[in-house]
Amino acid sequence: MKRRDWKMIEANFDGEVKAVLEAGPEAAAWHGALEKQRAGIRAVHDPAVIQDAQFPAFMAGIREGMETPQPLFSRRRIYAAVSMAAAALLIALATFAVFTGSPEPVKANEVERVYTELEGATVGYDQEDGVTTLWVNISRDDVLQ
Amino acid sequence: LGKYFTGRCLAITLAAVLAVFCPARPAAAEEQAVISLWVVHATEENREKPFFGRGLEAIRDVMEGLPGDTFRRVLNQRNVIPLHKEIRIRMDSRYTLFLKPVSREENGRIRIDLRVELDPKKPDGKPVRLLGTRLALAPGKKVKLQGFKKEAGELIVVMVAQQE
Repeated sequence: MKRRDWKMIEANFDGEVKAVLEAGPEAAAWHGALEKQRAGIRAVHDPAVIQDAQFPAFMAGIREGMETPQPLFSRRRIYAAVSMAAAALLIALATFAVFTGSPEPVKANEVERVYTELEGATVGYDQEDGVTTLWVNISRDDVLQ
Repeated sequence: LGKYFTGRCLAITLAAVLAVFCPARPAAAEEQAVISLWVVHATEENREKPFFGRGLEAIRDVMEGLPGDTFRRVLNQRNVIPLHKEIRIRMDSRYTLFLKPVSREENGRIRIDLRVELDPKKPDGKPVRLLGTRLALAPGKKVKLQGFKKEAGELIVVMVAQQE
């Protein structure tokens, strides 16, 4: 069918033209589809209303849902519990990280021990202005060959 | 929707756990120390102003106040040393420096064993441990070793642990 024919079917469906269309399988299918679309739109436009006669059954269903105890280990409950535990753990870890932090970087060297094995020599150390100095006092005779 | 949020919560928790408990530095950096080292020959040459040879700019502040008025670089090297491995640095014809990082503290300091040995006067003698020490080096803080006498002047060692 040509595009013009589709438009003619739609116009005919809407009652805009009174053209008599040649019946065919494609035209009939398109006509049916248009009817379904219109019925769907109408259904949305007119929402379902619970009639007085239906109300007791409606309430009974709600009551039944409220009174039926939920299973102890339903999937939904497990998800909720795990989510809560994860959130609590996250908060605990974040708090731990904030309050402990990394150790402060040190600002000075530290001499743990200093020694010499040369008889008669002396050793020592001091710290001044962030510089650590270690020294050995030896006689020049100890070195000279 | 529940599955989505649960999965997301677990992923965030896992990331937080990893961020808190994983070390900030890469493992390779934990297992080595980077130590820059200078050996300087200090002599008295009766100068009006102290003379500092090339390559000593970074440690010039440490040389102030030392005996001698002339400072020349004997060697300068950057050593990347695995923990527990001892390296040997020949300072001159008589002195040898041994350096061994033994641990890295949580606060970033590197504990090292260091000694300077003096070669024996006689060929059949044993080297003497002239100066030995165990130090915890704070990154960027200099250490100076002095008193290694030579025929003229003395040798001075300056070292600094690098921040990784």
